[in-house]
Amino acid sequence: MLLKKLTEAFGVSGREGEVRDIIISEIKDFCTDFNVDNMGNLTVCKKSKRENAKKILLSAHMDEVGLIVTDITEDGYLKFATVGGIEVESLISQRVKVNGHSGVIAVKAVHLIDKEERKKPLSEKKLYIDIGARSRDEAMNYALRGDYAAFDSQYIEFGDMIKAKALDDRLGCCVIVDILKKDWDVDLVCNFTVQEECGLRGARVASRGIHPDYAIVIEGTTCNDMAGVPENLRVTKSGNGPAISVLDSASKADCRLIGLLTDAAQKHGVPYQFKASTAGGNDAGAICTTDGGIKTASVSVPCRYIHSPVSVMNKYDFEMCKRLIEAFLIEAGKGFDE
Amino acid sequence: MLKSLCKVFAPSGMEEQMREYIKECIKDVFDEIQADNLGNLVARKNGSQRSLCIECGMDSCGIMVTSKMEDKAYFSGIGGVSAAYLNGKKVFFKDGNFGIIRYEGKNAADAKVTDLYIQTDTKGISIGDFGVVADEYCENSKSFFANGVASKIALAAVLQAVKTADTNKGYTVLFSAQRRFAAKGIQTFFTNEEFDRVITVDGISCEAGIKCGYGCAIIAVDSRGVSDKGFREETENISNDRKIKFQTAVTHENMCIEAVSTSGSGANCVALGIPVAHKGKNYESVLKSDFNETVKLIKTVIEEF
Repeated sequence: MLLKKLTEAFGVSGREGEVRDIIISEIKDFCTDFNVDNMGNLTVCKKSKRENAKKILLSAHMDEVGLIVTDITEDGYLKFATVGGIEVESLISQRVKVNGHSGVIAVKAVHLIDKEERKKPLSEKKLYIDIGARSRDEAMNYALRGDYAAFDSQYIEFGDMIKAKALDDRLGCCVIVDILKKDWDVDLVCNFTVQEECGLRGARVASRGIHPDYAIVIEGTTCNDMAGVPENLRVTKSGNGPAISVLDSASKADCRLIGLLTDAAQKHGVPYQFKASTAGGNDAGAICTTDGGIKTASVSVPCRYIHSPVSVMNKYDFEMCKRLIEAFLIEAGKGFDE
Repeated sequence: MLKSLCKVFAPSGMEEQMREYIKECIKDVFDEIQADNLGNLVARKNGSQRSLCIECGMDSCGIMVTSKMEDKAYFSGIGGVSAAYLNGKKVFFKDGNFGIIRYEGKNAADAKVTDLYIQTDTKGISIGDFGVVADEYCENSKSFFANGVASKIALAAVLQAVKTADTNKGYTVLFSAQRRFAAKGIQTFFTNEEFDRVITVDGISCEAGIKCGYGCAIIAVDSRGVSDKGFREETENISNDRKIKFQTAVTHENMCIEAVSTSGSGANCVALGIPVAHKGKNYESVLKSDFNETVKLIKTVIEEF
């Protein structure tokens, strides 16, 4: 299953090669051409046979949050810094992979933490990766400073839900790959970008020179429909369909494009919700200012516990996200009845 | 003009009404007026070749509805919205709906935006709708007063300057969209455009050495960038020659110097600030004398550079 392969692949920001290879192997027989740029962005083109077809840019990022080794202690532990936004508490006792080797993130045992220490917020400086080495020399057989570590977390389905690492944004990659396998009456340009989690860097480069009519970023987004969260602070709700963002900290979606998306959803019976927060940001922030401005919007699947090893999404929301993009492309193929 | 501008609905990202207002206002001045995909309005005057651009924002801070329940609409701020000053304010939506911002706590000064809600008829409001805090404009012989005047005063000054400038030389004016939202319009426009000289204009807080009544602030350094020294000194010299009152200033605010000067292959940028008292609070105010000196300075730049 593609989503399982993608989410279990290693792809911390700046080291997206494994994810890119999976995507290329999936799409190479279904596209007009593809290209990998100097940063590592993968751009895939699929032209339609129709003349004067609309050009649509779909974008998802290949990278995931993770860790980078900053030092190796004399007794063989790996000190690290986070790459992208990670809640430090979510790291404790997690399994990680460094250069294919297993490790665990460890912290001082609870028995050894005194009362005062317990009151202090946890810092990543207090954590380390135990890679099973007994000395710096031995640890250096497994990892060096500057090497990356990713969460080691299996793809698991339970009930209506999927648990995996890196659903943000392998789910977006998966949606676009599936879309590329079908034929459309639009000229599709699909960007699988790098380094979104550390500053939207890949999209800034990859979206240049495309000049699409519209761009849609397909993402995973925050979902906090959990016990104790007041109704008015719930950003998205699992099971209510994909979330369309009007505004976040990085971009304001194009009003007309939002209208086209919601019209397509209604026409094709696809549920959707609006993201009820302006927090967070994604590649749309870089795309919308490119080449004199690109009309851009984001469609996201709500993900609980995002940026952790155990992100959880609803299968229905994932399917409906794909259907919403398909509905939009069908309508774009008809010229939006313009 | 400022009074009319204050009535136009233009939160960041929803500047359509302001674009139409400006187009109508300047249609006799420019040879070409176009909007780009992000919503920037670009006005170009043909004439003897030179490369000058004047930039000012056309948007204002606002709110976006994030959820609603019964007669309450919850919201997030857009741009520099201070929750401490929102309690009891009237909010207008695009279609004329309105509501009043409420806070149930004891001390509104401690409020966060998530503690506030808009009391309104939520049937006419959707999640994602934008609103603006009502700009209740008033003036006396010395000053203009309004909520959010800082976001409109620069636009008023630029409009007045371009309408009265007498020049055969060509120049461009960027009325930028989403300026209050990470200067998105500026980033978009200058990526594809090349200018030798760019003047950006905005309201600026009267603080840290910037005083009301001392004329336009010519910004040497803002929080993110440095004005081009040569261009700044030329601007100061011509202001001295024309007896235009100005103050050279350093500010902790972001006047968008960096966004302009690092775009494309780089541009020599100078930022002008119109001193605003009580910026971000209730009834921001601008001295008419500072406004008039800024208009004169922009007009001189257009005519002489």
